[in-house]
Amino acid sequence: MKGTVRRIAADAAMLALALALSIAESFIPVSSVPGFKPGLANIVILLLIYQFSWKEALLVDLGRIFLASLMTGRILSFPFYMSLAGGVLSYLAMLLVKGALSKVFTIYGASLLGAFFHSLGQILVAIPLLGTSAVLWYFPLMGLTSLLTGLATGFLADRIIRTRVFEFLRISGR
Amino acid sequence: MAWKETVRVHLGDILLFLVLLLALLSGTILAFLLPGEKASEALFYRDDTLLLRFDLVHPDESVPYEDTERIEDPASLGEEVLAAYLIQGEMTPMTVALSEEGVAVLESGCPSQYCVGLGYTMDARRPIVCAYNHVHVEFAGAAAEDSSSGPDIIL
Repeated sequence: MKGTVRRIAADAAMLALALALSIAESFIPVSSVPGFKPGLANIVILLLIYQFSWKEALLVDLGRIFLASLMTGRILSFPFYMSLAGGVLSYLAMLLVKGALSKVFTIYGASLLGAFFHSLGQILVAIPLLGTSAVLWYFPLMGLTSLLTGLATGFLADRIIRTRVFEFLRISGR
Repeated sequence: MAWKETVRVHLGDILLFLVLLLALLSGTILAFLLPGEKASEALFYRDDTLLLRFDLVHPDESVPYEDTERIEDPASLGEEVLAAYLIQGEMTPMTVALSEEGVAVLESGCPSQYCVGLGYTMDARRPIVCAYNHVHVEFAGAAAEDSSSGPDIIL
């Protein structure tokens, strides 16, 4: 019972952290690179996939997207659908790496693929919503920036895991 | 501390990074560096509604349609501006302008400001996107029709 409460509290803390990072990102001044975001919230999702469970990672990912959209007034708007598509596709890619491809890739591979599929998901949902395939023009540059951010988030997640903070707090494991 | 102790990666990670990097770098170079097709007019749409037709050759012949107002003193927006209009996007108004370098979004209420950051263009293959306002531009004209990548620009 004590462990369950501890775990629920940890999930709530991770959701709050992911939400805070998502909203903080929205204040970062953007360049003319479309879709460029550091993807800081992805660190939390990576940590959850690798240290908690796929269910908790999915719940926090979806919760982050919905709550961030609610708090920024974009629920069910175009950016919300882009965020949802990117978030879900990214989550599935990272889950695949953690599960079936764990002997081939480390958390860096998961982070790289997660960032790549985040961009791809956004583009794929933008095409039908905007009714034009011209958005594909953005994809190479979006993908390129996502590789750099994917490397950075993978490095940070790896470093956090290696501090063994979750074992110390007795909240890791599946 | 050796980098191998700091960064623990598999060969698969490195190969994945290199493959994606090569593919995306090639795509970016193709998208940005290859010369594009010059269009003769730019059609601004909000979803399927035509808002404005910019004549890139004869700015005075530009035609406003739905939810569009002409800005009477375009030079106030910049010395290079030949004509400017205020169009109504899905969420916020947008100021769009025409110069000798093409069309641009000068002001938009969208949070990302991608459309503003892209600057002027008349390249039919180069999209400018404002997904937030559901506004996009289709380039047209003899040169644009030859473009194999389609006529769209998105603001």
